[in-house]
Amino acid sequence: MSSSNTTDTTESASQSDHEKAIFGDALRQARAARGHTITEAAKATRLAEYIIEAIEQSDLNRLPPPTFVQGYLRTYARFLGLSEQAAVDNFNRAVPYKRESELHPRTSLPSQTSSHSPLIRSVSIILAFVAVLALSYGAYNYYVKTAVTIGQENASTLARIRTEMHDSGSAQDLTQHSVISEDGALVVVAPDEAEEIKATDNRLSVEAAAEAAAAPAPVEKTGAVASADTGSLEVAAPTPDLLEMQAYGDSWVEISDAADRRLYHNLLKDGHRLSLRGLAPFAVFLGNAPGVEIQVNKIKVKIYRFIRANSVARFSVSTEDGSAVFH
Amino acid sequence: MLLKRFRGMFSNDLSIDLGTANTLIYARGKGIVLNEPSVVAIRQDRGPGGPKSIEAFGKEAKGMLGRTPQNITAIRPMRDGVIADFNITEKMLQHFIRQVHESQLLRPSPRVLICVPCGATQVERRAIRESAAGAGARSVYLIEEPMAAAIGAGMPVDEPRGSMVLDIGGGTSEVAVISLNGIVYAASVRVGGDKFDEAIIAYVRRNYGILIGETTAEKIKHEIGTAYPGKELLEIEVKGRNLSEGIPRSFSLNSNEILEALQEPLHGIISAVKTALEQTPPELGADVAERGIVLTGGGSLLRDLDRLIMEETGLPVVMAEEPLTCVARGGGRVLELIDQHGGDFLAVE
Repeated sequence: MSSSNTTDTTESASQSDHEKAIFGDALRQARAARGHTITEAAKATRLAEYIIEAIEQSDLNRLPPPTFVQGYLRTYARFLGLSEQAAVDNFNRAVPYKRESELHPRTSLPSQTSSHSPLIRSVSIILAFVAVLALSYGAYNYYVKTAVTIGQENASTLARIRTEMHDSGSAQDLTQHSVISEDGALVVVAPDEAEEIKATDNRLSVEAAAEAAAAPAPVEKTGAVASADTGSLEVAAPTPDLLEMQAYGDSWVEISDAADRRLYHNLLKDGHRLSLRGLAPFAVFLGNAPGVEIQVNKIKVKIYRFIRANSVARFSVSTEDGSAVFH
Repeated sequence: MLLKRFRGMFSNDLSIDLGTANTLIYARGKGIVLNEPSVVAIRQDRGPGGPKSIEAFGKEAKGMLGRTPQNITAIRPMRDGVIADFNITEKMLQHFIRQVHESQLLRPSPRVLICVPCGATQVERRAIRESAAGAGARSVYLIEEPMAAAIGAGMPVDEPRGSMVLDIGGGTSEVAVISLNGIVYAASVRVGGDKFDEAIIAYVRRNYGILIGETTAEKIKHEIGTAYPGKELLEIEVKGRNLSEGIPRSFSLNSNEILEALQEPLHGIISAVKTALEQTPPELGADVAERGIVLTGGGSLLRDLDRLIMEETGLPVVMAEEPLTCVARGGGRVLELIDQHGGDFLAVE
């Protein structure tokens, strides 16, 4: 095997040598036949003498890149009256390699991986897509977990409130993520329905606690039993009025009840709901009244006539015999 | 953006020689895939101001040049190597780019390298860039024409050694001295194949009183045009309208007459080459004198043009192999090198 290889190489080498000799020889013979010297040929073709010599001797080391040599051969062949194409073809056969010179850019940047392959590109795009999916799933999971934790925290806070009420007779300052309390009134803000469902138990207990807080004599409610674990609360007390709000746009909301207690004083975000308990009539101030829907004791309140040109509305409302009454 | 990249996966990298006379497209890994005249035929029905539609591109449209009825105009959107009609150029590029992609499913969005004459102004360069982008290119690179021509001709542009290239195109002729991958000196004259045609038309009109069209002039140039007095005298029989009689007449022209007609544009090219040799730093000038000037571009196919330059400058002159496709092939080589080495050869805007 190796021996045959060797013979092949030697054969091809000798062949190429042979052909080289032919392309150089043909030109030299033609020049000799016409009686020209190298100097004359160089003068007529405007080529350097050493180039003509190198061509005749087929000495590639002394010749410039093939592009030039092909041109020189054409010029020289034309001068000698030979076929230009034949001379070039002979040369190309003799020097089949390196038809184009190598190019070496001077600034070699850190080699970039060629992202041209369609396979690599499609795979990378699919990977990126999967990564985005995974991230969004993780974010959703985290959000749901947080909501549940808040619900549990609220339940435990209620238990604390209850014990404090027992001690001091009035509810203390209470602030949570979704639970805001001022002067004993409790507010539940549910950002969306998913959280609302999770927090249902919690809300029940918060409302119950609000009843307890609003009641005139909390000390009497010794029978109230709260379980922080389940979040249920049994309260035997008169029911105060219920004010509910749904925001369809951010709006500033201020609400006080008949006892002049400030029940809510904050920005109500778009899509949030607000439930308050207190004594009617409620004094209501809305910063962006067209974006807010109000119900008092489950009765819808029409507030259109209170809305001023700058969207602000200020009114005081209570219910009598199943309809809203403004004061 | 993302969609463009997606479509790009199904597109080839293209090197486009957007020439005045011909547009050539070299697809990476495929070679020259398109060689069409830069001509577009536009149909405008219902009088001026009516809706315009494209009637034909390329060869088909070139056949219509000077032979159209009122509602069709065959135009060449490139003049003097730069864009003369922006919208038509964009349409033409779009058509050619689509033509070289087999898949009809997705609109192709290739990376495109376009050659610009080194004399093009910033505005002209931007117009070329914008029209390629408008034709659907994902990204557009520009390269100076002589640089692409030199690379396409196989010149050793990366060596610290001067190489002079003369690219004679349809609208412009560019002469440049290149060393170490950069252009040391470049000049562009707005003389090219078109000017040869115009000179022939003017000559025939002056000496024969006969009007011939661009297509006929081009045919004369191809068949008997010569730049240096040769041994043999070629003749051609052509027909044109006799201006005094108003009747088409047949007459014959010989190559010596055409040589006379071409004197002025040829002189423009020779003087550009001489100026370049004057302006070249001495060391590089010596390299050029030793190795010679390389001719590329369709204009260099004019018979004995290399002889003329050789006699005028006293330097060896070398015709590149396949001079018509040098620029597009050179651009293709550069496109292959962009991924590996970054844009060392590219032109700045």
